[in-house]
Amino acid sequence: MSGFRSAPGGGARIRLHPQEAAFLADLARQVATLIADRTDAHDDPVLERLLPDAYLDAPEDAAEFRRFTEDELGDAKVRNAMTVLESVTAEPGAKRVDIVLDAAGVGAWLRSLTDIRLALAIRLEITEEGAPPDLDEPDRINYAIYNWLGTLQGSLVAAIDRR
Amino acid sequence: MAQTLDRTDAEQGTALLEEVRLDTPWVTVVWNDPVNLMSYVSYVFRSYFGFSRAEAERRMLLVHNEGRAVVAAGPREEMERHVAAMHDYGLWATVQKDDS
Repeated sequence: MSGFRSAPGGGARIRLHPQEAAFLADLARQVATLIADRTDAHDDPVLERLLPDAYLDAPEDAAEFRRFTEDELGDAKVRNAMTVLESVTAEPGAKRVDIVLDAAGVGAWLRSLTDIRLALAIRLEITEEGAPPDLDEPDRINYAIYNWLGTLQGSLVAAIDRR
Repeated sequence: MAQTLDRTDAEQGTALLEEVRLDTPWVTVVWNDPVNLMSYVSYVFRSYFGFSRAEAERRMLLVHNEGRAVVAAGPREEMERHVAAMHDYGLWATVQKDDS
């Protein structure tokens, strides 16, 4: 994986290994499902971060803001995750997954990579200092994926920034 | 990451902000988190608020170093639109009365 490169018209391109594409597809699907199936955003710390309160120490204002904006925000996040999911879906047996994004696709990817990384960070309890030292085996893999997604997102920002 | 701050630009931005604040008691605050990349936060500030590169970097560093930064001031409805847009980008932002 050598990161995103810029493409004409504010787009970007990347070639992923099928395993990388599969990790990304799985995470995008999980985030989309979590948001789409929610009943109350306060039920889950990931949802609380992805659909956060807009007011501190003013629960009534926060609830009113949520009433008018949460559905639209949640729908947008699900759409962004679905855009990622569609673009990483490979032909069975493919040796590589070539992804070419237009400017709108870049916008969806930047936002969805952020949502996925926020979700992983909350599940893994990542702080400014990094991950907790006592991660078990599946979470060590998830932490490696989290770091990889950070590199991936950084390369996407850099690819569209060079124009 | 480029760290060159354009002094004139940054000072103008601050002066404008303070001017607006005199009669508009609402602000949009962006909060730090351990996840979002500095380059991404700076990109969001440039592309959404139209800040110059230097001004976006300055406010991104405020978020990073101070834990929060005011990124806009004005009518409450406008601040709520900004906050919704920040949440769309995955940055955590809140609307507050300007208590400075």
